[in-house]
Amino acid sequence: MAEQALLSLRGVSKSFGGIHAVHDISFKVRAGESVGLVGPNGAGKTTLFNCVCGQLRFDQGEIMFDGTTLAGIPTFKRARLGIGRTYQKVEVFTDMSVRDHLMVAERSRCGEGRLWKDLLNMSKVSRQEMENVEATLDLVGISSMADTSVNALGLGHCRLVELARALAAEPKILLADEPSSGLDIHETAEVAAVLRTVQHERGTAILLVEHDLSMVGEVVDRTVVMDLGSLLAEGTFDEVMANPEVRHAYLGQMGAA
Amino acid sequence: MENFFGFALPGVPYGCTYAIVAVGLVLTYQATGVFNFAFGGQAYAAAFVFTLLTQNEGWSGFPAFLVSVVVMSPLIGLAFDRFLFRKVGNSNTTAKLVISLSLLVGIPSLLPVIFGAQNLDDTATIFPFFNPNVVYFTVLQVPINGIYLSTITVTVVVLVALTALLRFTNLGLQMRGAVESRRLVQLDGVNSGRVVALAWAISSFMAGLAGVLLAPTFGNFQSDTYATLMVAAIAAAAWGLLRSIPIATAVGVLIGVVSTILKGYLPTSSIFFSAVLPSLPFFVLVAALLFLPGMRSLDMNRDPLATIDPPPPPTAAASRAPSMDRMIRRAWWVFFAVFVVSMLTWMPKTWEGVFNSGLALSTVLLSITLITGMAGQLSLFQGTLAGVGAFTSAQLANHLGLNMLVGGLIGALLAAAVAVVVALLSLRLRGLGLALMTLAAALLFDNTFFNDASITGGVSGLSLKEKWLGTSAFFNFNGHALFLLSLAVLAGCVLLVLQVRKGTVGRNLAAMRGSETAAAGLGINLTWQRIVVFALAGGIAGLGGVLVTIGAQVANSAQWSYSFSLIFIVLVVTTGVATVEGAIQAGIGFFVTSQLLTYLPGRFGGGSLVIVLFAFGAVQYAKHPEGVLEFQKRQGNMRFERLLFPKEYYALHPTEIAPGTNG
Amino acid sequence: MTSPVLADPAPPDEGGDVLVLQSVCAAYGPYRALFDVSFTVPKGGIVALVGSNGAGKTTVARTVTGLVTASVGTVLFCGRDVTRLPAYKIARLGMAHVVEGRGVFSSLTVEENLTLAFRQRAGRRLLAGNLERAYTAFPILGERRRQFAGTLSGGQQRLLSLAKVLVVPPQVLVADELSLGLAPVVVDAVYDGLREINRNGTALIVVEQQVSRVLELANKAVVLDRGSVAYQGDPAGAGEAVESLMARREAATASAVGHGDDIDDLTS
Repeated sequence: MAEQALLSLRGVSKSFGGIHAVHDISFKVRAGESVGLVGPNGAGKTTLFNCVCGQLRFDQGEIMFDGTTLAGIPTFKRARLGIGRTYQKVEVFTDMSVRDHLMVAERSRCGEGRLWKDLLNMSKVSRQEMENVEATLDLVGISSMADTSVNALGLGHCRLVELARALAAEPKILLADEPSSGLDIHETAEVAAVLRTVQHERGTAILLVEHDLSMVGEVVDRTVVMDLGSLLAEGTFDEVMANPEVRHAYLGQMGAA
Repeated sequence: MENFFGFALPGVPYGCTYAIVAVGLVLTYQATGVFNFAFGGQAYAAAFVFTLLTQNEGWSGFPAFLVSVVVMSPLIGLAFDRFLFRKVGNSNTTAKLVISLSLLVGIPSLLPVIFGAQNLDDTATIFPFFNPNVVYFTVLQVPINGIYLSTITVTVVVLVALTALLRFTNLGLQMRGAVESRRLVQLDGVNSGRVVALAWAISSFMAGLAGVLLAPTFGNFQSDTYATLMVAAIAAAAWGLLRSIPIATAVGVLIGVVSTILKGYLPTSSIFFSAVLPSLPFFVLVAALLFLPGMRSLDMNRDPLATIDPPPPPTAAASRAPSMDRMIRRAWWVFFAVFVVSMLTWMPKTWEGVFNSGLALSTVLLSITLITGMAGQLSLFQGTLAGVGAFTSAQLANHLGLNMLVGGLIGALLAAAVAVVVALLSLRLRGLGLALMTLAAALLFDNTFFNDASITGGVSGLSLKEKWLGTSAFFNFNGHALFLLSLAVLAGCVLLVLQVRKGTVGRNLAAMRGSETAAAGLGINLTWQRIVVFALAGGIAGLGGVLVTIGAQVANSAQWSYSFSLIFIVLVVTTGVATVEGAIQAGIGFFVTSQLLTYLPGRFGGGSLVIVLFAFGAVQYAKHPEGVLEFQKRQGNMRFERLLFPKEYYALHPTEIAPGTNG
Repeated sequence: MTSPVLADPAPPDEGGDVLVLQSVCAAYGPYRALFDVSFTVPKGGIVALVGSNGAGKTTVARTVTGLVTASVGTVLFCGRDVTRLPAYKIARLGMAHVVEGRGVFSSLTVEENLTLAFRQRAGRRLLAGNLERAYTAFPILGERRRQFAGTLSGGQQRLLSLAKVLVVPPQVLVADELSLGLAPVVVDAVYDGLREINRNGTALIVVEQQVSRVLELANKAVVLDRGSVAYQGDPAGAGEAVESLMARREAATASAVGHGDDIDDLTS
């Protein structure tokens, strides 16, 4: 374990009115590594994501990212440190075209928009930015809907837009929250391929929450299983899937087959 | 101690009236999802008709009560539902608020138009259960008469009945479900249209009841009294998080009691008595907004089935065919040139004045385009900010002899600073919460700074001494200097807004409007964005205020009362808040319409009808939330395009001939 | 997790079609979504509705239950024309719809959510029993009965909306994106529940992304492509139909956009 952990959680806990949504969770994600986070509904996966990204304040423990402790840092600063994410309940910018979604991300990656630049007409979209955006659109396979307003897109396509938007910001780690839900089998395969590509070519670390286990198995190097807010198992995908506790709590019939 | 109760007990009937209205607000919000600012207007309407019948027509109390409260009030509620709110999406917070604001503004101005001006002093009244003139018993030497007992009884009955309705009946459950998603309750087999209509009828009945009960308590009968009452009620409802009827009642009663106690103990000559005491409800409201975390998530629920509604259409300007676009641009420049030349040559003085006022108002309204249209923040104090600019520049001119241009800039900066302070106070508030905070700020200014004769010159206002307007010939007001100045300022502000919209900040604002969660998750500093946009909008509003002052030669607090802030936002949003043209059309249109109406006879003349016209443009607005003018423009565009450039038209609208494909 | 406890069996089958769509077209404002869609749901049958994203599956579901009104064509429910009926009237005739994504009232508690549905569908007298059955079938909902539904996790909210229809089975159930966001063990339980209410007479229309899984369950498949029916009939043939559609679409994008190469590389 010579390699420095990119994201490390130590004893992270969060409870809502007495219910432990996340309880004493510790694990690490190394730079460029792809980790799956699976578990039954209500296991606290999305809550954990919210704690890492800053939408929720965690009660106890410590989260370190790239050598910085995250407690007390607002969401937008964490994003600038290099944490990107997609959302389980789709969060797209209503009324905005797909291309503009990516442009927002591209600009935020290069630093904040300056008012005086806007006023002096210095904030036109550059060729380089345009190319970056097109490349990301292509990568995710949504070029054909670049000029469509997201209002006209279905749930599945909105997920792809979210993924593209997160990738356009070129994060060091991507937290993907059920990116394949609402996608058909081929789109799921494409998303899996996109995740592998960014991991291998850009060295982006990935933390993936997903119920489509075949996709998890394809994408991840390591898997963490949560149940009822606690860590249940950790290991390679096959190891974890062979764990009887996991099979009981999560897989049911499918694990037995 | 007896003294204490002697002060406290008279506050109870006041408190109860606040509580009844607060409970009405909670009920309407829980059952219809609308924060009903018009509740005060509805109460006023019922009281108006009740008084009209008892006083001028000589009816006795009970039949008048039946007509005004039992029959008319629910009908008003049903009409609101049928013609306005039914057409607005559950999740469209801005539209719901703006329509209820327009009703608040419109109803009191509409009544005199329908019934003619009425003198409604010394309201006769109905008190159920107890005789108002009989002292039933005394508590600690305070005589308790029928007024006390009636008010308290009615409050308790209402409290119990409504709590039971919302918490324990099937209808209440269906209402609360329908608030969140009218479609989802339909899937459970509930006739959501009927449930929502019923909710409106009940809440409107409450409003009528409150109005008739309150009329005697307030003695002198003015719609303004009802506005003050509304603030106390809003504050009480806010402490109940617009959800808890018991808390809302308790806080309402408490505000009434504390007011009378303070009134009793504070020396009448102190600043506290004149300024702080009337503002007590505002402080209570602001405290709720600042300290209750629950206020931050108001109106955050989204209809899970909202995607069934067709997406909002793109703006008229964005969806034009290229040839049409070129033509319109050219036509616009020609129109503009003709306008400027006309103003400088043959335009009669009256009409030049009308257009100048229009340009000045447009500048104020432009600030709303920026803050509400682009940033999605509903700010109800842009008129107040304009007032800050106006009074600052006027004071600087009169006392320091500063040129109005320099003073105007300082005024704009001060307005921006005030806006930033309010923005900082309301960083965590969204939608309704922010609207209430800015409304509280507007009312606070009305009651304190704008009410202080040494700042605003009392009733007559601050007259400008003309010499301070500058020495050069440019400021010779017999020429067209004011027109040129207004035009230049407006053009500058328009340019600024357009530049911001095109740039990174504009795109970030649009992102923030779409999803704050996702915007923050991408590294956009929401706090900073908000402060920037509040400051810009505040500055623009301030400049507009200065222009109005130069035009009118006087800065008067009546020009900048909170109700104008409300009228402004209603104006802009009903014409079209998404585009810069919307603000200009609203501003100029307002004054042109007022001027045209002066040619009408009698009761239809004057300013009140123009407000009514705009407010009831809300009926159209409910159908076209992008703005009435905006809608008309798109329709017109499409018609002309089909005629002039059929090829491009059908390329842009494939569904009209060849069906397109979309999931 | 036990499988759902079920209500009294519905009246026995009489054959025929419980739901008929005839040349249905539908649109969202200017966006057309369905073109000339016709298919039938046999009494007690299970119809799988599959197709890629944007194919119009959700719109078909919404048209059937009255959330979207067909602009052209007719929808017959038990022989009755329901095309222009509002959704609540269709629901009262015995139609239920589990919507895509979140389908609960987040400002009501779990129990209030269930109460709202059960009172309307099964009457006040059966309310207590139905609630009990729901909590037995989904113990997690029992634990959280006083919690606001909005505070449940995404998957738990799905369970809540399924509990409403599994406990009081309707005549026809339309389930949109059935397994979306559910853990495998829960998906199993839900499928078991569906089989059981189907055995008791409920006809099902299931929209699902896990094509192979739903085709196993169904006895009829309808494949949609860009708002039209591309295949209907035996589920066994549907898988193939979907595959060929996908292949054709990918080929089309590849040639049209000209960036097909990298996508192909990724998916191969």
